[in-house]
Amino acid sequence: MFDAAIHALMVLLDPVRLLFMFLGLIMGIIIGILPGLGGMTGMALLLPFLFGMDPYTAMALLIGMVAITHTSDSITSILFGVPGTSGAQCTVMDGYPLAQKGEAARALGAAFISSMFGGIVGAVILFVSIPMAKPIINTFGSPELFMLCLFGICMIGVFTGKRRLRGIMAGLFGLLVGTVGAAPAAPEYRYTFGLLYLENGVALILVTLGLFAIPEMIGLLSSSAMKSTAKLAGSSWQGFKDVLKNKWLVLQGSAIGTFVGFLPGLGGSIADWAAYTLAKKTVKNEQFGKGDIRGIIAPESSNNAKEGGSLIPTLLFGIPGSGTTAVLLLGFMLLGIQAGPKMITDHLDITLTIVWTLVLANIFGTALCFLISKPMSKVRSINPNKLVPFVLVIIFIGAYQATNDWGDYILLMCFGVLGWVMRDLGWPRIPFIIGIILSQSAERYLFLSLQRYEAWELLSRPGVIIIGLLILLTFLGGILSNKLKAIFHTFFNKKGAGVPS
Amino acid sequence: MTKSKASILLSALFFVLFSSLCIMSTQYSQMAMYFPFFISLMASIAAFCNTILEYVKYRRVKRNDEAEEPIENEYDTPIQYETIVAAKNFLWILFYLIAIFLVGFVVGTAVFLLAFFKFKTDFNWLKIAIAIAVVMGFIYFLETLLPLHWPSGILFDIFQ
Repeated sequence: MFDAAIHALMVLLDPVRLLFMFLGLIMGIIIGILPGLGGMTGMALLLPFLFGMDPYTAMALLIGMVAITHTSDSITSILFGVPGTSGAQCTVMDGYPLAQKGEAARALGAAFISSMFGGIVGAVILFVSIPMAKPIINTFGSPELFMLCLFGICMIGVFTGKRRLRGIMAGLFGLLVGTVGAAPAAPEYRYTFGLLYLENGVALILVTLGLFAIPEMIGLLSSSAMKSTAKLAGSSWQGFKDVLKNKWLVLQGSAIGTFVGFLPGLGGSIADWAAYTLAKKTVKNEQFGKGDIRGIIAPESSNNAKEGGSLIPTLLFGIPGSGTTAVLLLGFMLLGIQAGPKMITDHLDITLTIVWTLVLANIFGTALCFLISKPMSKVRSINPNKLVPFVLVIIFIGAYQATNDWGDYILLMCFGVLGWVMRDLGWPRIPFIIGIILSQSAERYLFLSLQRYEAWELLSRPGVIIIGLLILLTFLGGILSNKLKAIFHTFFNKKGAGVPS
Repeated sequence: MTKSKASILLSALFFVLFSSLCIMSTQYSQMAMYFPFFISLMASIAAFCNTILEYVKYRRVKRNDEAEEPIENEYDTPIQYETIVAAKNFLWILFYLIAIFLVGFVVGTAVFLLAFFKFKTDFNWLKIAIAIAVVMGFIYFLETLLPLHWPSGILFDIFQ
């Protein structure tokens, strides 16, 4: 295992791969700074450019981008009081008041360093989980893997968004869209409506770009400019010392982030708020909400650690833990790699490259964030809608690469409208994309299971029963989650703070 | 129309769509039908339940509003203004698509950028020219670096 880890590090240290990792870092920083664009949209924009890349370089680019988004989003959160991504809502609570008090550099320093440590802890936990998961994975057959697919859809459907049934419907719709085209078990085309274009199925890049990037562009076009009055006063070094002084808080936030990331469907904002709330309860003499540096350290370490946690079910079981990892899984498919048990047998080198990229991207990305924070502090206004045409050009380039057909643009528009309607009405879109991604594997595992086992034999397998019970618990947990959210709302409303969404 | 009404409508539309897909799936051979059939059946049931539940909730909220005891409902906001703004924004994307369709990707992109920056931002001609040059350079860079393809416009196809 350690030999393989050293080998993976050597592979990643290739200058070309490092260059691509830095490209990913730069893109991740830009995406983190701009409100409205998250790691998921960023990844969706990068996907079309992965064709022809080797898996290590592609992973360096994608993981490099996603690893740093939650670090750079602190810049706008602290200087402008606007969260760069949904995972930075907590940072605004104490970061912006600190900037107003003339301690922006200290707040940024603490945010960057705690993010870096959080990211590294997440990567280490991912690394440690590989040998631990191996014996469990080896006992899984196609029935268990099919049940895991259903479990993934249920988790995401239940915990994403405000209404469980909407999430489940979106997931099932995704599974149905995934069946368009050639059937895997029979020489037959399904739901093609006589169109030659649909015989190869719906290109996942188009769904991702349409469902996520287009609605965000429409949203950004309506957004107004962000204004800042904060100066980069104070000392970054003080922020670094604050993190060292609160090392247990960093560990606590990282542990929460990794755990929340591991559970499919619980997004970045939940990880942040959980870390923030627990920190508020556990630290002494707290001044949370008024500019307490610990109110930055806890959520920042949590949201970066979440990435490592969400990669555990994604890589080892093929079940995406979040929207970002769902798009990463899509990247795997484009590269011809199937995530799941094979990631620790046949593709262990790729898995370990991902772990190393997470570590290196967090370290180099933090350094880059320190470098750009000074020029960023001089920017008095950011108008995101001026960026829209540039991103639209990338979207249109990427969409056409799906099949080089005009149908690509038509589908992009269709999913764009659907995505915008869903976004506007509060319907979750992540279960939809995860449904499409899991559709093919779910059908294949079901087909194999039905071929190999009798019905009773299938249903009496311990793994199937356990995962079946977990699915049942997920529904019940969804009810509990709603109650928890209500408690969160009451708690934050009483304190006059923002409410997590 | 309020968001809650629009949501009920969307849910009902999903129910119709899933039911149709369920019926369609019965026309396939057994090996090809079982997965889409069961999934669309489950989706139809979920959509039906969701439509009923959302309607019941909508009625309850409305009754409480009439009784002057309004309960909190985040979706009870009119969507007309937002829809108009978003529709206008969406027209820009549609304009870009039409420009590509007519004159091809590269020229269409230049036309779109010119129109967008002129009418939607406070950019002067110099800034617009720089922005277009940067994007054209980026496209050229991608074209030489990666095996990418662009759509040619219908006008170019006609004159060729």
